[in-house]
Amino acid sequence: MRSICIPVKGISEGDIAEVEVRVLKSDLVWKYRLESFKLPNTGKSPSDTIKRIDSLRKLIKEYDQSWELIQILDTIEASEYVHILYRKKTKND
Amino acid sequence: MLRTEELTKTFRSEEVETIALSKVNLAVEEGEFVSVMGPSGCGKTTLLNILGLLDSPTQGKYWLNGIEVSRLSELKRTRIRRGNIGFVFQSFNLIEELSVYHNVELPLLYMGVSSGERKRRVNEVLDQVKISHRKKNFPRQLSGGQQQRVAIARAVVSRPKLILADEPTGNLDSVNGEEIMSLLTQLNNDGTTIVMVTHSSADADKAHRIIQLFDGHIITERIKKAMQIG
Repeated sequence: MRSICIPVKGISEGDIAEVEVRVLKSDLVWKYRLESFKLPNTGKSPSDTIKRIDSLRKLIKEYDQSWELIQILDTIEASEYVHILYRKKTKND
Repeated sequence: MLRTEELTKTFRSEEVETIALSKVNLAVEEGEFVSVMGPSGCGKTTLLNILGLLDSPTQGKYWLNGIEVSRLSELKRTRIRRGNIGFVFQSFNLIEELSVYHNVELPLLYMGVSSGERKRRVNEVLDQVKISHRKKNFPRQLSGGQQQRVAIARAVVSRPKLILADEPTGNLDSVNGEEIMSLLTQLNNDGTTIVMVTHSSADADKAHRIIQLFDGHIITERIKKAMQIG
């Protein structure tokens, strides 16, 4: 088994979800965090895109360094929010 | 192995210009395994198509094995692609009318490899991906995992130095997905450079480096593990 799918009900844009995965009878524990970030605008012009990219780069760079970025997730069309999945760093990271 | 400088790709319709890639600077070393991630429509496949010489950039430069290839004609791109780059697609892209053996043999026919050498190399790669027992079957008679193993055999039979994989486990269940990732990792351990587009963070973790794309821009690069030299 490579992945576990966890349906999360009632989470809306701007909310943060944290999930702890523990493998029983072992020391394996992973903590995941799904966080939404509001981007400056959703315009389609090149300057709008640059603003959005700069903002996204900045927030990822300045995010809590004890978490590593796993994935920028699919966004809803014209949404102001981008959803990012992080994983808590372990001693091995 | 490959390097891009300010690589940009725009698609233009009558009313709208869409920027698929914007000023992408990327370098991939020989023997490296690089994963490219990002939301749908962020430019991952466009990037892979340009790296594979299936498409050309609107602006910017692309060096493959030291040769600037971004402005080459279709004919020259095809010549460079042949034998240098292997492709693995999400939907396998096998030819339904050909048997497993003949699907894998096809790139060698295009390259003008002799009959005896073709037979030796096809059988060798079919053994390598553990699908020899199905070589007389047609793609529709195989499971998704088996079809992808055939597609990988076809990609590597010409011994390319570079494999480009677009969501190679996207149509597979977890067990078959694991097998395909093991195969790709083994090929990389044997020296093949791999650039793989994926939505799966588990698959991406197999790479040396993970690149995150968003709206056609590289947002971050994360080194997962050191590359072994030699």
